Amino acid sequence: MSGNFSRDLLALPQVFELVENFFANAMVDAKVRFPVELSVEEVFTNFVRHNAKGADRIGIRLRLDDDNLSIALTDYDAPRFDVTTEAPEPGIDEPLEKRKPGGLGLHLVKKMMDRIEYRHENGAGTVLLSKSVG
Amino acid sequence: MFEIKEGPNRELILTGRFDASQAEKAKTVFLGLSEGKTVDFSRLDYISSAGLGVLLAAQKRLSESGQSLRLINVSSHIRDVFHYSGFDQIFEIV
Repeated sequence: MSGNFSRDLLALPQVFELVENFFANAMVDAKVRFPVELSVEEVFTNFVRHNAKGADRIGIRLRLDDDNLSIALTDYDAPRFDVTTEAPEPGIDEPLEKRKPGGLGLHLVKKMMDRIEYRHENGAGTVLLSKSVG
Repeated sequence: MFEIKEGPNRELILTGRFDASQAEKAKTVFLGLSEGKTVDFSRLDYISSAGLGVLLAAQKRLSESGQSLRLINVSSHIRDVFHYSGFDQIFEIV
């Protein structure tokens, strides 16, 4: 199941609708829905915030192969930014006065998904997420 | 849908989905707080890092005057997010 979305946080309801439709059709434990929704939002908002002037829409594809749920989010007009290595660390052990919100979203994605990969080809950046749902 | 309302004991009741599209609206409420508050999560279905960022900013601001947010009725999946974020160390979660 896939869709293309405006580069705008106001497109989030449509993004969540895609995830909702995927779960309505896929035989996947409902407990997986929250980490999937959160991971899709975090990567989508990362694309929107860090590449606000990108020309094209953002593509999202979800699929289930046996017990493996995979999600591909593609920014079709993106400079290279490897989210697996270049995102700031959120400093989760720091005391309150030193905490900053940056980096938290991708940190949560790494915690909630089994695997995160990044590819950059022909001007398009893709984040590939996967999670075993067996 | 996301709403913030004041309850009968002056607690803040969060309802719905606290995602990135709602963060600006929530900021006006949370960053306008002049005293510590109890925040009831019992009707909150979802929160992402954008929502966590708003709570963090409010907690930092309140801590400057020795006050804080206290979170109640936090569901297990949202509790997991707080744990992964280290927020269980900086918020009182009842």
